[in-house]
Amino acid sequence: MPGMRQLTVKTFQEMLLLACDAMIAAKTQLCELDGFVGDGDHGVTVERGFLAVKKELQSGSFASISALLEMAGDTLERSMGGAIGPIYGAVFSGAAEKAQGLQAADVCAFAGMLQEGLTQAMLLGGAKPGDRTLIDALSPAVESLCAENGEKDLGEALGRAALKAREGAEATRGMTAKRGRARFLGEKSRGYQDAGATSLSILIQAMADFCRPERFDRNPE
Amino acid sequence: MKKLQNSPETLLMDELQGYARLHRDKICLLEETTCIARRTPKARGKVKLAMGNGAGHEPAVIGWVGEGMFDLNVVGDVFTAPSGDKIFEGLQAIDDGSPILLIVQNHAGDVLNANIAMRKAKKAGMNIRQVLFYDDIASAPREAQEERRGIGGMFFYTKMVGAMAEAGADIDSCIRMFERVRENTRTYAAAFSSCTHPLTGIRMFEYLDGTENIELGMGVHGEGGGENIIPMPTAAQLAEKMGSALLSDRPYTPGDRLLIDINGAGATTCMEMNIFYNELEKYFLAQGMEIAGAVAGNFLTTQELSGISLSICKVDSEMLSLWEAPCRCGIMSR
Repeated sequence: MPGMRQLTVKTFQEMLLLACDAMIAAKTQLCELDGFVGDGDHGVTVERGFLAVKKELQSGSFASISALLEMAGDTLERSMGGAIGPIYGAVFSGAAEKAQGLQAADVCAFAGMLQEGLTQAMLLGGAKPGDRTLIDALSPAVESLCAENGEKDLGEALGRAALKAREGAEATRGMTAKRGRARFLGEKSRGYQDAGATSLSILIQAMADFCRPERFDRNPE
Repeated sequence: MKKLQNSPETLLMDELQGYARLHRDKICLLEETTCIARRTPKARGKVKLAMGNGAGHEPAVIGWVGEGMFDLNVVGDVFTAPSGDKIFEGLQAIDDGSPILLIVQNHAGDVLNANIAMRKAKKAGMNIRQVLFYDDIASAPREAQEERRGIGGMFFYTKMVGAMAEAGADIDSCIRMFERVRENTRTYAAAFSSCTHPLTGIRMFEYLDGTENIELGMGVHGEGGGENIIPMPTAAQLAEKMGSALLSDRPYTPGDRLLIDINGAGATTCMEMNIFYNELEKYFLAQGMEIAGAVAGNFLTTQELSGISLSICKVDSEMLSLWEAPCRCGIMSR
């Protein structure tokens, strides 16, 4: 079965729903990671935010991909709180800006959207790659998508981006926190994977999973 | 987890409703925005003090709302700053055109969301200004003061700027006083035990359990203070260790008049605070300082953490009279 080449507004909405479920399911894992260096509630915050997005996705109808992303950004910023709320909000709102006017999203569109999400998140939070934040997962994923040369299969391209995101999240183990609460631990923050980078990599992985044809083999419509 | 609560979903509202019922003579609960506001608003035109912060630190900051201190506290989820939208909506609820001073304790989430709220408030035409507080000497070197966390020393500005605003000072004077207090305030903290996050049941500071060690320099969300773990000292030893760290940071000089605030982290006993204060006063006097006043209590907590933070503020007679001015709040009435 050939892979998906693009998402329509409807399938984009379905992809976001799957992503919400993946984020909600990661609650315990994210809390445990956060517990090593923070107050151990990243999973609770992520669950609260993505449950709120899920509710909107299930109840609302959306005219465009941009409207979906904007709703997700506003909802996350509002419901998550903390530093992570505005930062996740910026990722989605940035993507929404880039998606304006699009009725379908292909590999190239995903690269542009995530690139703008990354830019907005960095501008807002001030973090750079290597600071041990979710930027360390998002940045390599964006790089991977932007480097796709003529790849038409969205599942393949997002799958490679998800792998890079996961490697990026794992690499935070060797980093010293420069931002957020973990920075007060200094060198002691090393050795543990950053919870925010981990949740971001789970998000990209869920997007990739949605676009992979084998998923549709398992769940024939 | 052995905590007296109903469910994670209702934890915050259950708490706020209970607090509002206990202190209905001083404050009221704004349910839609999870805010605690002062019962009787100040006369129009006087500066209102507002803050947004995460829950879990009670009596901070809901207990600091009332006459002579805060006018509004926007409460977020446990250890989580409220969103910019939520802070903005809380500000709208008390806005009557009077100047508002939004005070922000320096933590990443509090700062980001306060900035979002400020943008919205200014766009909505509110007469609002914003200031940032930082006092924790363990969290950044003196050269990078503005990167330090804002912790227990907030008692000093809340009381002094609160008294000024109550008396009708304009917002520029309030901000100048805030900056004066910040310049003269330093805080250092120590954790003795672990505590439990009320939503997740996860233990924070677990590495202190089953040891005779304490950690110096911890923050109010379980953030550690780096590698500064030492065997449990005597009260006299800890008073000297913390007192000297504070005095050498400013630096303060002999003859200065100091206010002292011993803040319990939640499970610190009154007995320990009394003993610690006794040693502190002896220590500071021996260093040639004058003691202008002192308070001790669990004002800004991290659940049932055992530990203390020590804050000092050098005052002049104007600051001292503001410190001693009347107030009527959950944590203090004078």
